[in-house]
Amino acid sequence: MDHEGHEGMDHGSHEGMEHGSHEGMDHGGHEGMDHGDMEMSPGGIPLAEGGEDRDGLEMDVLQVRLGPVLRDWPAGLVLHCSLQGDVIVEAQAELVDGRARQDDDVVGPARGIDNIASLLALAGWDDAAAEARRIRDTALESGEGAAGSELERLRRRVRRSWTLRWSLRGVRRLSDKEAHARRLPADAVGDTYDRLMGMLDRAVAGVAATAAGDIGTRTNDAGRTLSTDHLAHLVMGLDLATARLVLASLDIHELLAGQAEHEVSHG
Amino acid sequence: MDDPTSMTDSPITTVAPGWAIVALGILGALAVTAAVLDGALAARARGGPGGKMGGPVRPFGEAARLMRQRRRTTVEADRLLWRIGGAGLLVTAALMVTVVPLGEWTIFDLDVGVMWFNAMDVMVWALVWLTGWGANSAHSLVGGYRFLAHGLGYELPLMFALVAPAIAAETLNVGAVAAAQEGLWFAVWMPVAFLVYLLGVAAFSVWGPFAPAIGTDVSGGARAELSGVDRLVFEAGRYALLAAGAAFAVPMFLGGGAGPLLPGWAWVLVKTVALLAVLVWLRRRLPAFRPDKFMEVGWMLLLPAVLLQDLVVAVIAVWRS
Repeated sequence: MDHEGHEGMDHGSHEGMEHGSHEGMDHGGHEGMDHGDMEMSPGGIPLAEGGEDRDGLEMDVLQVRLGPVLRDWPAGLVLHCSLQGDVIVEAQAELVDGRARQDDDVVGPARGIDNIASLLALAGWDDAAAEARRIRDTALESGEGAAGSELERLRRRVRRSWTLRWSLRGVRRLSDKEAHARRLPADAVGDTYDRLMGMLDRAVAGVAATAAGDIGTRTNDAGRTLSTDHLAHLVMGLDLATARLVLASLDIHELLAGQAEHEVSHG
Repeated sequence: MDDPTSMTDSPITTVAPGWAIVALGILGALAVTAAVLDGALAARARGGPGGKMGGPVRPFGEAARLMRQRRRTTVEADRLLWRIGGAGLLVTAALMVTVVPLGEWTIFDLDVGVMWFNAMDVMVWALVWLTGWGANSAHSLVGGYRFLAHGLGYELPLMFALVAPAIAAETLNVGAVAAAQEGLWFAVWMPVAFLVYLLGVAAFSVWGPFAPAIGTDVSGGARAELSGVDRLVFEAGRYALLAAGAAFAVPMFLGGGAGPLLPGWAWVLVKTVALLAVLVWLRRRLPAFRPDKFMEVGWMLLLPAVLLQDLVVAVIAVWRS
């Protein structure tokens, strides 16, 4: 074991030298450049660079990419994060192959219910998430009308959970002005708990409308198309897990590649 | 504390070390029971068995799958520490049950059995963190630290919850604590300590509301990179910890083997399974306690509550003597 370990280390650092300089090139324009000489990459993974933390002390900055394939994550979204500890200090959002899903016909309530399931799963409530997924499947298979009473029951159950309220209350509260500036739908105002309740209300209303034969509500979908431009700002300063809760709470039905995709947004 | 020699009048028989195999078997059976129950409850939530590995047989299917799965590793993983972390949970659970008397038999009749249990549950801090650290992956490490954050919230309340029965029984010997509950279980007249203890068990088993360390929101956290046998051992360790925690509550709070008709050992098992079922069910009812928020609950609510409980118990104990 020991022997192996030593060998691995040696090999790693040799390789690392080469990789390190490559990495440095990629990251051109970063403040990290002046550390270039010290930069090593054991096993081909560059070491974290130092950076100033919120308290003014130096702390390692680690580059972590979230997505595009991740459970309970908006499809196709890639979030390039700079982490200090588990806090996202800088983020840049992009979309992988945005056009591929234009003709996706899973719209309306089923998509909304799926987003509810994701948020519940991220909040660590497997049971309620499983129930939401089951309702989503009912909505897809046997028509949305059939899901009505079950959805109502899920809404009651979620509303009754004071632990969930305590957990999501106050997470990334958005004011009217902020929501408008980020081009978010009006129902994104409030905290993550408010947004979850909004999702449930919309799903219940959507299912009821479809059952009544009102196809018009489906056009609501257009309002739930968000641009990647505005996502990165929303998660900066949050920790990884909270950031995922916040993104899931936006009830994203469709993502648009933003114009500012190539600019790194600074917090 | 009393002179240690006064504790040799413990009502417990120490069995030969070979019986440890049997204890391990019982622990394993309890862990499997918990896993089967969890599988059954999960299937109910999904509505029907759902998929080929649904329902109560899920743990067996899952175990078979993991045993065949190829063991992945990550670049520059700290393998030794990683494996120690993953396998350590199971070992810790086994060490915990060595001081739990099964009716009148125990493997170690330690005078400081309560402290022994406490020391084992603190070891879980290191083990979960090492599992997160060893993989050399960002999500794993975040998961490991999330467990420590939870630990800061739950550990002190858990310790003080264990103090309550020890004060009332005036001993740290587990068998003697069980024997001190003649007529009235400690769970009945120290409910706060009992509830906080149960929360602590869920917490050191990384279970239910205390699972953010391995949560979906950090992509599996500490266990994100575990695969194959490593993952199987880690999961088995969690269920075993849950079972060991439930088993230890029986002599501490539920009167040990006391009960009508059945022999002592059977009562211990019945009570353990009942508590285990409650703990497994808890996961269905509660969302995760996010570590950043739970810290406040631990220090501002649980700790004062359990300290007050200790005070009440101490006053009653003095008054009774």
